[in-house]
Amino acid sequence: MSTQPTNIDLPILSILGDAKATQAAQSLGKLLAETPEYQSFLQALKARNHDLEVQRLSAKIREHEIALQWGRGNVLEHQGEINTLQVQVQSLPLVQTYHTAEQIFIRLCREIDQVVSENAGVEFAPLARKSGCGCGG
Amino acid sequence: MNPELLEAARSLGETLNQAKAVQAYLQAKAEAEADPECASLEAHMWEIYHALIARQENGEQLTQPEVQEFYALQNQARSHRLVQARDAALAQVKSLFADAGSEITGQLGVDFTSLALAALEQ
Repeated sequence: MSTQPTNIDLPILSILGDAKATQAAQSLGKLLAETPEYQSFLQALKARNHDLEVQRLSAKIREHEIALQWGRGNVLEHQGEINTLQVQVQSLPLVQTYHTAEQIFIRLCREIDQVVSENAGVEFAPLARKSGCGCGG
Repeated sequence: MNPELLEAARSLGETLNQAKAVQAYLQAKAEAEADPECASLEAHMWEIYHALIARQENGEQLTQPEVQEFYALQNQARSHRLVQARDAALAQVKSLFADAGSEITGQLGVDFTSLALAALEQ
């Protein structure tokens, strides 16, 4: 009987490798969720989403967008109204606070991505992004 | 970045690097780059691609034959066995990375990869 070592490609080894990656990603996600940057971002996001003035202006924007989709009314007038409403939304202090918090959190996510990519030897975020076209690309 | 977070990011990177899919991709990529025929074919394809894009961005109308010529070159590059092997390996890496990204996103409730890439796009 041969005692020669053989290289058998065991699928279980890949699965275990993936499980380790899953665990490492979960740990990273948990720690990231505990950072002050994420907590501030989450708080600002909730405040923006629950604000009545933001909701009122957003609903108006949607009305104009739906009218444009259905070809109702004057295109330029709708687009002008949308632009005005968007400026109003962006000028709200609560929305500006949200954008600032978002930028800070984005910076942290980018730094994390750089560390992951450097250690993986392959760029992480661009390859981890799920394609929206369904082509698998 | 706090040290614990930095260590977790390093750990994920190292774990991904050790994954079979990533090792297979890095090997396939190195083989494609080391093969003179394959490397030259791809370099030529990208050279033509960038030249066509630059002309298009300058408002120039590209002719049908030169566009077709580029697509023929692209098909030739894509059908090279080393490019096919590299692209197949890359698809496996994408799947692994997408799963890892989903795990981070799952903990946050917001899309981590989109946020990480948003910084690049600003």
